[in-house]
Amino acid sequence: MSSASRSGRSPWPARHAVSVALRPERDYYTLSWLDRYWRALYSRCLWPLPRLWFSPGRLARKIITASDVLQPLDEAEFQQHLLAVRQRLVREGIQLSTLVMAFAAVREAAGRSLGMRHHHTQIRASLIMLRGMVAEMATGEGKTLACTLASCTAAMAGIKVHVVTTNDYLAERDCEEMLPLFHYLGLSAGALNSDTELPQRQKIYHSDILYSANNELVFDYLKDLLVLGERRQTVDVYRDSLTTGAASITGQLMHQGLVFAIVDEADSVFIDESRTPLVISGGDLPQADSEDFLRQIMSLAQTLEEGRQYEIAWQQRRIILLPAGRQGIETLAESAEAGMSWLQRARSEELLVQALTALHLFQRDKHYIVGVEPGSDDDESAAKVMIVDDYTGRLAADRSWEGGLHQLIEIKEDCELTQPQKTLAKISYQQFFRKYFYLSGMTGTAREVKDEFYSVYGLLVYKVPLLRKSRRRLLRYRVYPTMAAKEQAIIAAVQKKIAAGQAVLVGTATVDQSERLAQQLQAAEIEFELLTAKQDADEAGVVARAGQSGRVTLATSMAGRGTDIKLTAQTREAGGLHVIICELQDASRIDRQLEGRGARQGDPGSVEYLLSFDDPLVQVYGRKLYRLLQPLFFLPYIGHWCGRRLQRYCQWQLERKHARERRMTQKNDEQEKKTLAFLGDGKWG
Amino acid sequence: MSLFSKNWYLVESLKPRLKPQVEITPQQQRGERAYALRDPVSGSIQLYTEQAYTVVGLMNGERSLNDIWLLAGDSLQDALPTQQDVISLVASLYQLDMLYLDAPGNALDLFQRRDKKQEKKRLQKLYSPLSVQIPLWDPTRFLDRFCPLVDRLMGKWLLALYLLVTLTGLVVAAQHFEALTANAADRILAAENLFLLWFLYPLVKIIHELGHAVIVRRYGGQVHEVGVMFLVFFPMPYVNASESAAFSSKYQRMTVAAAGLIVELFIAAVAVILWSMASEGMVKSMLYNVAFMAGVSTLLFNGNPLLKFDAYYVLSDYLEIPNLAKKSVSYWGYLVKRYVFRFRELEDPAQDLRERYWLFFYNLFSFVYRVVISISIILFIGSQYFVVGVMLGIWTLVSSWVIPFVKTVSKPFTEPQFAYQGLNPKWVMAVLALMCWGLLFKLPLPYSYTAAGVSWTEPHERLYAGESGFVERIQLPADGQVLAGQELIILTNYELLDRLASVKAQLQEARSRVRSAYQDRARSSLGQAEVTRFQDELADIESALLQTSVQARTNGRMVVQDPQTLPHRYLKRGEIIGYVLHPERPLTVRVAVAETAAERVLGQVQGVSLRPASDRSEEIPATLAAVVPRVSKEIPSPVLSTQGGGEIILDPSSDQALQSLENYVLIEVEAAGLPMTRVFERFYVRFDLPSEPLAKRLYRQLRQVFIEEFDV
Repeated sequence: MSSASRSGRSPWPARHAVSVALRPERDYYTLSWLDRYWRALYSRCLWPLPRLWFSPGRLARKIITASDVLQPLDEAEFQQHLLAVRQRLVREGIQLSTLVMAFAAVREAAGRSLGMRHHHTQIRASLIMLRGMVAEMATGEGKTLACTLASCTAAMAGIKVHVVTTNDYLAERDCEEMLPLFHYLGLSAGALNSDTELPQRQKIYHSDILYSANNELVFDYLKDLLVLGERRQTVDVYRDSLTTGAASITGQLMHQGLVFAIVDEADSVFIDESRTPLVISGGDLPQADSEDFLRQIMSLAQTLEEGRQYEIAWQQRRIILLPAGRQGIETLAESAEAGMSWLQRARSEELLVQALTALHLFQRDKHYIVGVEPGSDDDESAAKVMIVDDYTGRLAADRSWEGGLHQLIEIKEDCELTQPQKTLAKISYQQFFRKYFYLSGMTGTAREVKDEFYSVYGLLVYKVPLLRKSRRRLLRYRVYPTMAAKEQAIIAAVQKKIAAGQAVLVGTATVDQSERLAQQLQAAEIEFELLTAKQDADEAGVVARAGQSGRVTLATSMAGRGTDIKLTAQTREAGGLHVIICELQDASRIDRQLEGRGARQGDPGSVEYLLSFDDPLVQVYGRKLYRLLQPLFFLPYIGHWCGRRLQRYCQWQLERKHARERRMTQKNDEQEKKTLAFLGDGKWG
Repeated sequence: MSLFSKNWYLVESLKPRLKPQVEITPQQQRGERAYALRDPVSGSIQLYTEQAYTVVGLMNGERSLNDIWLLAGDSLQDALPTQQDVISLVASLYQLDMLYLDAPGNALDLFQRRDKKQEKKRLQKLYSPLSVQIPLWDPTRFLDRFCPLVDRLMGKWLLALYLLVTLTGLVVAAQHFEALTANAADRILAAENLFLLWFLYPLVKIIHELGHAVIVRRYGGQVHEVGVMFLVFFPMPYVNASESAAFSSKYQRMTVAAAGLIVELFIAAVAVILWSMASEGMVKSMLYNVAFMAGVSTLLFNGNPLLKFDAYYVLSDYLEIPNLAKKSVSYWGYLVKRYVFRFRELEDPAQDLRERYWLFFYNLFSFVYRVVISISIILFIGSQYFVVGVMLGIWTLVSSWVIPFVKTVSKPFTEPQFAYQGLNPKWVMAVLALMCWGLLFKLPLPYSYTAAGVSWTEPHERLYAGESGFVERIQLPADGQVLAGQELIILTNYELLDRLASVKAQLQEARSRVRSAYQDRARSSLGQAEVTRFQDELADIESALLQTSVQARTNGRMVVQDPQTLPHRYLKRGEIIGYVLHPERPLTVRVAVAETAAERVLGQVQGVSLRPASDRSEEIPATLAAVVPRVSKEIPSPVLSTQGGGEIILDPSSDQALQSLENYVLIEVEAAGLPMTRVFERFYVRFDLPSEPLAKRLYRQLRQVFIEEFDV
């Protein structure tokens, strides 16, 4: 292992030979408190100074000049030049001296293969990424193309590059769009997809540039861990391969090491998704609670009254069992004929709380939906409970709640009970991405979480200026007193915009809200398309049509990220895409992502916030404040301002809560790792 | 707390086995059975509850952890540990190297753990530079030879001898209490004695430590480490007697902890007995020192359960509360969480009421005690070596007070349970902070300064002999009322009278000589000069003779000291016989106010009141009359000095009688309505100052300490 990997990061990505270490990856490390304080101080107070000194703009101009020189070369000459560049990159690695040449060559190659040459902002973004930072690039500035400079340069230098994004659709789309460039450069590239089979997967992992959704990458990593089992070191694998036949183990492995990752939508991957660790489960849990017992508990839970036997702490989303509630368990224990086993007795209180949680804190069509898995051909009777991800708004069909909660919700929804499964392997995104030797990212919305980027991943954030001035206009920001008033206003706004010929995207936070709006739109006889976790089969089709003039699309936050809504000429003339945000999302970043669907790359567009005080966000996080400030909201001028502030305040509360949870997750992770030191020096896990 | 753990999948198939050399001894802890697991190879010891022990007992290397947990559930029923408990148990056993695990490839972790342990030890030294432990060698060989000798001695008759000697020592000490305690501080801190102390202290301590070691060996334990501990740079030997923790009888554990004290008390008794018999000299003072060290200082330090020395372990074992100090702190944490933050679900760490009391008061007292000790240690070092002292002081302050304080205060914000268990920690902390701030900075507390003073007379009120002489006649009025100019006592000064006669004769002679030398001008003028001289002398003597009559110089009531001894007594010139005090004369009291307090007293005084020392219940209002405009070390009366029963310490090295160590400002206070009945009576004078919040006062005191001690 090179010394660079021990003492922080090397300034540029470097090659790690797969032949020596089977799967090169950075060792597990924790930050001491001194490091943590230093990082907090650096990103808050000190980074603005060196940032002034690091100016990618100068380099970008140099690169453009260098690539313009290549333009008159004929094909053969250019290929010759490419070969030379590649040789030098392999020989000398990525350095300031080789960088200009490489970028210029890739830019020219992009021009010849894709017909697009990188703008100077895109070059800047790539420089930032190659320097191990997060490039904050406004939505619609062409991040997909931008990152090719960094990925191709690294790949030409022999470094395996993972381009990570949030979902399969984006991974596949990006990869496909850029494939001509990669092929032109003689690089192999592939996109992972949840349906890809093992041999195909291994092939994709072998390619120079890999496009993948974050969870695919991590799941594969976990699957590899299961294959590796007790073999902690490369030598163990080779030894066992020798004794049992060479291909048996390495033949099942997928990952080729974690060297250089470019994470698209970095805030989503690094921050939003990192609250829940990824788990591979299988087999039956040996101490599973019996179905009868769960049903008994559930029926007991249904008889309890709020305030007398339990309380609900809404802000913490937590049930507090009162002493009167505990008595219920005792009577249950006495009434049981055979008496309860010790396991049941010990579990009963915990399960009762879970049952109450299932009943009161988890709502259908908000936290989960009940239905058949999209894409499968089961009929309605095989409906099952599927989790909706808070941030992406997408279904996470493979996820399930732990500790009996999932089964209790299934009882609540009258579904068939699934067997709780045993955890086989688990890793958090924080842990996983910290294993990369070299990490970088790009996103449209990073500034809110820049401190967390640096404190957890050591990633600094650098903002890239806009190529063209944004033509997005914020039309209105209204907070209505009631839900009904808000919905009316939304319908009116939609009618007005489609009459003008614009395309309209209505963004909601929950499936539930989308469905209510859908009914209203239907009643108003407006044609629309729905894009939610429930109906995401034809996602690409809906997105493709969304830019047509007069088209109304109703979507949850799942349409927020990466979705590129192409406008028709007619729409563009009428004023582009109009985005109506009718509920604040879990973080202001996600709102901004949704805003960013319109007015992309110099197109016109408009945004409108139509909210209400009945929104769940305000009801949970600002109920007291709302009551206190109520008289203010009816004042002229400052009333609206107060309403907006209240909404943002509630959102901020929620963001902070999630940030705290992420910190706790990470802390617990480290603590557990310490406690479980007796499991040995887990190289891979 | 959830029964299942998310990490169970990682450990459930492990098959742990307790290492064969681990010894298990049962102990009784507050009515419950506990088990001490001891690994003689590494010397580590850990106490486990019966519940945990049930799990440990099932680890035979064949059952998987999951089976063990289920079996434990069958036998423990409701008291079964959660999966997380089991994981922590395995982790702790593994950290103590008491477990074989079938987990592969632990080599790297072994090294890392060793490095961590060493790093921790080094950091420990850095964190508390005032108590550093340096292990030196393994005394097993020596003890192998030494202990049998001692063991042979031990028996009933040794106990009898011990009791006899200590009791005798006690009796002797009581008999010579005066001689032993008189001037103790001076004797101990004198220079040559410090040298003796340096020499004797380690010797006594070595015997003390030997006591621990012998008892550990006697009860079957081993001692593998002796070393030197530097407490505030002062070397102290220590032995590692931690193996005693595995003894199953609490009395054995207590004996081990108390052994040092027992031995030292014996030494002290012997020393006192010998001291009482020795004649003055080096030997006697050596014995005195030994007795002092082994007796007093040992009782103060090792015998103090508030410090983590011997007595602490005795107490902790006696109460059957292992880790008393730590548990006490956690009990306080519980109290705060329960009653300040109003946690809903919280387990009381104390098992019964008695334990609760112990935990409550132990932490309270030890906290206060630690505050006092820390401050005095810092001051002590600071005054000895200023720069190093202040730096070390600050470091100790930071590592032992500031960091724990910050940690404690930040706990409500970092620990997740605060977020959902009780009241909002933000509000609670804000209210607490506000309360502290108010108490310290805002709440004005009544404030006063009290100093001792004496009732003070003016010179004209004193009756004194203007000239020495024997009392001839006493004309004291029976009612004591005198007028100015009244003759009270007539003295006869024979010397003066004789000289008068002789000077008169000489004058006569001189005059004759002048007369007879009328022809000789030179002799005549010489004689004339002689005459003048004798005339002057005569006038002096006559005026001195006038002084032999003691007169009152003011109207008033006369007070005479010891009138019955007056007749025929010889009074020296200036000797005060008594006072004449006018009945209307207000009481004036002269107060010595310390220089440091003078500015505040003079500048801000709002009221003055007096309390006579003879009757402290009486409070007399008074006013500030005058200030003697100087600062000096001279005090007005010996009544104020420690010798006179006051509080001002006199400078022993001064050649003047009433020279104090510190500077004082003298202030005269007058009580208008009250006549002065006694002179030089001690009064406690209280100067009422404007109310002031506590922080301001503390700050000023701190400033003064710094100025005094370090001149900054």
